[in-house]
Amino acid sequence: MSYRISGHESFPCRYTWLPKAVRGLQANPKLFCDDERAMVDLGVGKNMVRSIRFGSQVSGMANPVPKGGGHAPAKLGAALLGERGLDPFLEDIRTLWLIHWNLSTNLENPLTARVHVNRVWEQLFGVGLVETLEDFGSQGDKPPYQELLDDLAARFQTDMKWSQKTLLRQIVLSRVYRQSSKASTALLERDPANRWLARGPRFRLTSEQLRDQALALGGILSQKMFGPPVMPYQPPGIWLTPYEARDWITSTNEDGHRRALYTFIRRSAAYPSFITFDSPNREFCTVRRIRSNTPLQALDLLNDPVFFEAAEGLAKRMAAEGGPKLESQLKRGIFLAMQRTPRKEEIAVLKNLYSRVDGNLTLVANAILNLDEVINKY
Amino acid sequence: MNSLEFLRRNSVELQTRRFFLKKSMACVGGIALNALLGQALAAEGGPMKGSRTHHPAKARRVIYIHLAGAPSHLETFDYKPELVKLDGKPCPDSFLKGKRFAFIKGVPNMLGPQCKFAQHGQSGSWVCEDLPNLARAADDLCFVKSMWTEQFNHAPAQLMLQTGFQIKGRPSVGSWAYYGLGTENQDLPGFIVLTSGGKNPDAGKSIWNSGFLPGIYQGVQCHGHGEPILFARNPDGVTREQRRATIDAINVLNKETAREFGDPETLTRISQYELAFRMQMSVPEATNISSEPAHIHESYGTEPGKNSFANNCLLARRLCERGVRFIQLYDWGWDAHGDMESTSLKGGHQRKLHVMDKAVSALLGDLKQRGMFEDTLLICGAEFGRTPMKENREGRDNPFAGRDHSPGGFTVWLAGGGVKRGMSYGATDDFGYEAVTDRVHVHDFNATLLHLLGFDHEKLTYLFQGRHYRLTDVHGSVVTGILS
Repeated sequence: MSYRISGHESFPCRYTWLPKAVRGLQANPKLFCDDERAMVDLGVGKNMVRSIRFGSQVSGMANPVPKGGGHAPAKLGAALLGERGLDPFLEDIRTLWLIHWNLSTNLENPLTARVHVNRVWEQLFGVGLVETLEDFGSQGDKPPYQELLDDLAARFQTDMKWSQKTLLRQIVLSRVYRQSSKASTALLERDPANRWLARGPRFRLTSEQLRDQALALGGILSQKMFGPPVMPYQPPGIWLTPYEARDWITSTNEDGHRRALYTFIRRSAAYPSFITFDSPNREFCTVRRIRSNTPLQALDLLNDPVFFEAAEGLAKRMAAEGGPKLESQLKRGIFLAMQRTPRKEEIAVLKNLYSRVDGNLTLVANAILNLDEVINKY
Repeated sequence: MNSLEFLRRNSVELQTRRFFLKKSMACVGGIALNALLGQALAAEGGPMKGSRTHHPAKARRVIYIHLAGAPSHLETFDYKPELVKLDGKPCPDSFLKGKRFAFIKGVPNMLGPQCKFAQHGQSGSWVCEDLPNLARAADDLCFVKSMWTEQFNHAPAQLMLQTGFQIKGRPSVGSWAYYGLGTENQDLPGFIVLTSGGKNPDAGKSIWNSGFLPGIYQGVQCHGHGEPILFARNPDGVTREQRRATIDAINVLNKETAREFGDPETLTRISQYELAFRMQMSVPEATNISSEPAHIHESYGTEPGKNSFANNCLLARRLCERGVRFIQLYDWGWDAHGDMESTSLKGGHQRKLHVMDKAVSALLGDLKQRGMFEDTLLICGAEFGRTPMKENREGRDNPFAGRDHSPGGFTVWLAGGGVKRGMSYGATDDFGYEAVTDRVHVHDFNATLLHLLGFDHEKLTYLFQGRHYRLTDVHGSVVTGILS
């Protein structure tokens, strides 16, 4: 029995249907063989009959009997919902959990695993195999590599035993992930959004990642974990809500430099840089963020005191870790931010900048933290 | 993302990208890069302008004044002589049955109009004596006196009016308009929000949020003092020359990155840094009202350097001139309950009317004088109206004359692009309690607004979570009676 997203069969399963199906089949295995008869026996319309037949099978409450034998209640179905079953009227929430678990872990059509694998894929590649993470239905996008998604989803349930770590390892060690992100003109023309995966992923970090990365590079990221949310610096006047006494009280000490996820969120007056970098406002359930690329983002990364403080920190590290020579300090900065050997031309550009900004290393670090290569994952 | 969505969400960006491409061809050079630029242009789908209107627009831009807290329609434009007779009498049962109020308890007394009214202009529109300047302009205004909504608390009612839904999360009317219209000016955001009155509106920034539309369509809050746009000012001690040098270095290195990786987003980013640099100049220039002549300050009642409603009105005109499509003013403090002097109809409310009258009529005159009245839609309204009853918080008469929230009937006025002049449309009952003639729901109002901007409100949609959402949800019809 395979899942369907549309069609009359997949009408939302009503409470009384599954017990009805199980008890009906116990009395008459051929219940679903004659629609007209079933309409009378079950007391519902024809489409509902099909719906009950479908629902009882995908939830694992009943199975078809081969060679025209109709259907039979599954062991679990009979034990739970049958005559003298444990929960014949489906009143116990735990029965629902069991049915739900059955529904979501069906190996033949592993929707849960598929959705999850797709979301992990999106975190790593910037776009899910199914682009519409939130919608696997008839209005969702078709994946370019259906087999890949199915295979990963199936193995995630079996070999990988639902282990995140194993799944991540599988994907990041794959050839497709380890490809270079460079795109030739021809490839770019034919596949601008990289749906074919003929090159590696390349996409801008999320608002939270940008903040965490900048603080880490500046050597000021707090490692403190857990506890209540914190209120890092934000410009005055963000919270100006009438009839409401709460105020933003800027956190002191390391609490001002905690990871982004500890930031206090108020939906009607969210933390400015998060919103600027496409964080959802948490008013709708949002699994997919659409990345924008705006001048306000540039202003934020250049001038937001948080990012500027990170630049000061990075400049200090460059001076401290790079040795006495300017060139080696610049090299250190590039290495820290990009984890690769700096190129000659890059050093020349930054040297030039250093002299144009009157030897202010913080502004050089500020530039480094704004580079496309630094704010992108690739 | 599919190519269609790419186009849809990038229309604004693409414009800037095209701008950048034109300007930067000479300095970037290189065969690979030129090919890349060609690709970026191709993605644009030809010479597409930002706008995707369905019919010719009557209004090219909108100035939307939202008097947050909701002033009393009964002390501004909706004259009810019958209410005078009931003043001080207990409220009839029929007014209370099945109604919910924010504060009224038990049986309140009725409250007659707290100011004198007179008819003005050829249209004979009723305007209260506290609005002498708007009274003189009455023949330019189109009053919709039969507005109604379901929401009787500020935040949900503001959300309802501005996003078409009473719960946070939907895109605001400004975001929808910006999404449809695109931008006219590369150096300024296309949807700007100005707030005054010392507080943000009750519903917070959710009423200028872009909801599930891409973030670029959200309203950008702008200030006439201090930092005009968040983070537009360089950190202390960083000069404009130093900022130029920083951006130069960033862009030179980013061009290398673009050459190496061929990612069109990198090219966009280069142009956005240039745009950011220009905005650092253009925004303070646009928001600096001190360059305006004395007679302008005199007429608006503006004081440079302050945050005030009057300043925001003048700011709105300056932003209009610079091609900003949708400008929204939120002025907080109109919640005339009469629980203290500042919310008394004869106190704070009246003082706010005087300020509003002066500034808004100056803005109206200014737009006319500059030939912008015809294609600018000016709106002045609020989330709901006020009760014809005197508020009796906790069952006791409030110390000052005040009214509770009343969603059943209120007045909004429009002027300029595409609406009739000197008109009063619809009516409330004899006591100003419920809209009875030609009722205009908030959805009808929003449908009309989009119509004036050139959109069919049923066709301006965005696919989200499997559904084509629109500003008016599944409701609304254009109020053709007010169209010119």
